[in-house]
Amino acid sequence: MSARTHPPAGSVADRAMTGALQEAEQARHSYVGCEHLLLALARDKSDDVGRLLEGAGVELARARATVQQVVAQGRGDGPRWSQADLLSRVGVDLAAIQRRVQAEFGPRAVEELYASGIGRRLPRGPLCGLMVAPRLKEAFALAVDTARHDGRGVDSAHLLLGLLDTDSPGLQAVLAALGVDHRGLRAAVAARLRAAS
Amino acid sequence: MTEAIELAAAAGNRDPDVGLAAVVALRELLAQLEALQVMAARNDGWTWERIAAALGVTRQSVHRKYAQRHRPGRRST
Repeated sequence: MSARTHPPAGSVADRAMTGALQEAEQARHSYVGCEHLLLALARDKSDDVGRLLEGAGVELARARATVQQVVAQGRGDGPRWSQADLLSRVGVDLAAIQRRVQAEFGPRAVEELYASGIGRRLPRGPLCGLMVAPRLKEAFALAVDTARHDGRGVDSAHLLLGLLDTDSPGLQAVLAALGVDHRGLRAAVAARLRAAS
Repeated sequence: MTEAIELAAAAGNRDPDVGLAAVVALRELLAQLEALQVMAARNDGWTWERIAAALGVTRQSVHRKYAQRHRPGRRST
């Protein structure tokens, strides 16, 4: 998600997106997808939705391991291998190159490049940060729509409903592997949202 | 760049799936590094001609790749 589409700072959606990015980074994936947002929602046990997920079979440690498996099998919402891993296969240390680029051209050089005329037609590449999977953007858009319809801000239940209503291969593979009843979970979240509005 | 890709492919993994994806990543990385250098050179006042000579390509090709198109009234060299 670019700075332009990132949810408002401090909001529930912002915290969830930050959590999803952390999950993707820790897993050394090159993208953030619906499967990572699921982990972010599941890890917040102070939240109703976090507890709901745990009850439905999304236990955090197992879910993380499952996400790793699904992505490694190429069944996630984005590319199977991270750019850093691929480059290390041919003896290139991406982190070292990123440090050199920052030292020589400044900490925001890559963003500046893409904002400039010179980078306008340049395809994305390993120096760009995590890619946001289109399916994840779709899930966020659905959550925003539902929240607007409910006349309130986006909360974690809206996000989970958005995830479950998005046709995300990564999320579906993870839920199936965990033995989660997709329809049952969706019904439970929808009921919670109805009760809250 | 072609040389680098050939080198990488030769040194790379025997699984073509991984090897080819690695070459793509390397190609994209090279394109980004080249663009960063071009941006720095332009910021330092280099002409497209000088940048092209340094990259070993024609002025037209570097201009086509990097110069902004619709800038009426502004010299691009």
